[in-house]
Amino acid sequence: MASQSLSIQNKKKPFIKRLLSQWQLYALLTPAMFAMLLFHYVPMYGVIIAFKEILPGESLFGGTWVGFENFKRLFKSDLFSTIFKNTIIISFVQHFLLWPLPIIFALLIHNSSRRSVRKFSQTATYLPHLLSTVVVVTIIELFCNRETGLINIVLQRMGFDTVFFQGDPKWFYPMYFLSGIWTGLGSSAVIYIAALSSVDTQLIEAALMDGANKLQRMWYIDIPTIMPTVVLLLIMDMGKVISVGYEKVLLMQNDLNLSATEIIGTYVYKNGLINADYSFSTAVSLFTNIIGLALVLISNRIAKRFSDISLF
Amino acid sequence: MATKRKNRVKQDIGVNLVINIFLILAGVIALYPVWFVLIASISDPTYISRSEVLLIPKGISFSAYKLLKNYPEIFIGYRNSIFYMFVGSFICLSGVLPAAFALSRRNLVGRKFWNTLIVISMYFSGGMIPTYLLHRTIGWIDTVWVLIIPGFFTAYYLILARSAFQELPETLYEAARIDGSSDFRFFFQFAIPLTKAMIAVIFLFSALAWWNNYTRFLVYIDNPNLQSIQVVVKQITEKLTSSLSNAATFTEQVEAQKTKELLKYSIVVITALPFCILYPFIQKYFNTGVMIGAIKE
Repeated sequence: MASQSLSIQNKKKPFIKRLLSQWQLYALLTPAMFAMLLFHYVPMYGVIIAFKEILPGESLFGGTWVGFENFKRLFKSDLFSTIFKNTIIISFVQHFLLWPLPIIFALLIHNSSRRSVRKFSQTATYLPHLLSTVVVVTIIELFCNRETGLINIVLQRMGFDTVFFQGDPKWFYPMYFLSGIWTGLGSSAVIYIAALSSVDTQLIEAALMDGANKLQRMWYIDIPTIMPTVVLLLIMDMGKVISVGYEKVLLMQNDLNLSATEIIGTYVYKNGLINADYSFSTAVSLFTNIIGLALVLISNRIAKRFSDISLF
Repeated sequence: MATKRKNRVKQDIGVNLVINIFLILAGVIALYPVWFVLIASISDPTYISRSEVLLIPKGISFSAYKLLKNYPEIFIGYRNSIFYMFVGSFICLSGVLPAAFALSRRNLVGRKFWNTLIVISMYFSGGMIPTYLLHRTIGWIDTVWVLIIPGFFTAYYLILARSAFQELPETLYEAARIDGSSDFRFFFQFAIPLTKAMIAVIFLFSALAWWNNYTRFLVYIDNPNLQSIQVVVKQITEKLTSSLSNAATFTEQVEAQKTKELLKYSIVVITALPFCILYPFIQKYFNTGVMIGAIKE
């Protein structure tokens, strides 16, 4: 009773007074929150330039209103279909065809009978994750070079024709995704391995009693255990479906494979920053952001309905 | 018990074998490209082109590394990246840790408000162009500030740090309070020393991100004296690929081509070197870092 009245009293203290009594905490909080407001929320407000026409010299707050002109231009242009198609192909493969790989890898690591093998494999597959995108793309180029690349040297040795990997949009996809698996497998698996370590040992004991073999234990115990994590990560990925990280694509891009490598991110960078077409490029990225947000909300809703798991 | 174990072993022996072979194979495949780049950078290119360098270097020479001194921009980039790595990570910690501590206190006025803003900032952003224009309005383009000052806030690190501070026992805080410790004092004297492992994790994540960052430098930095190693590497490899040698004969051209490839191998090696060498020592931090993040979400 006493504590209740105390807390009510506390709440009734004027806001300013409570704030002042916490000035030290606010002093600690300020630098980061100021940086957040300035570098995240001011640009968020800045997306209004998607509805303006900004000349190359003007600031974020200048320009003249043009309504939905930029969006109309976007939907009318031929470019729209190309960059959206390319973006969606890349993210579809990445999120819906490749996502089981780290899970399978984590299951194998978790079920390996030898500690040394487990350790070696986990350590070795995580290493490529430390390499920068520039280094990874340079390695791809070195391996796939038409004359001097290892792949072509070996192909030639085995009596095949050499392949000009960089020169054909078709070859962009295998190079992009295989290198993606190479750098991402170990690091994406870490989170599932962590989830697997929480498997209930009683369940395993009981399964052993019933004579379940390893494959059955994986199927009936391990997979249900990590299901919540899997669903959660899938929801989080949904929002990224339309916003593929453009760094690697931009680095792999050349004049010959442009028809496959021009995606939303690379287009916004080149048209927006290099050509200074600010408001149109902002309209493009605003449009993708809104679709991304809608996708997160929808998938969050679906997951909530079917499995009680959700982000918010 | 013994018979049960025996049965288990019998049943699973094949599966275990397949799993272990697969895991070893995956590890070897993951390491091979890195290993090949390393041995190719110290081998004679003639042997490489005859596919005689596959597992061990042949015709060892360090000539490619000696040629690197013709590219002073590499050293400038290296120096700059080391600077950004330490100063940037320090700035990051000095913004993120105090804020995370404040947000971990349950009685903080406006706690929910700030936490909501942080979450929103993770899912929605103004995008590249408005951010660029903001920095241009401030007048920071092509300066060090545009790179390191926004580092005061990084949502992911802040959430990592916040969950670590939240795990400190509330009684510790109460006890310190009764003994007359202020929030400042508690933060510096208790909270920081007790969360050293988490701080190391954030520092490593941040340092790696700084070393590997390419886009931010590409967008904001023109001045070659401020450029990072990653952009320099990209520029040099591009130049090496597109430039035509002025060699007269075909053999000379082939030789020039080989030198270029060798140079690229050695540039990749020195760019990837710092973290690959440190990796065995810091690996455990990377794993725990991911796990702290995973538990919180």
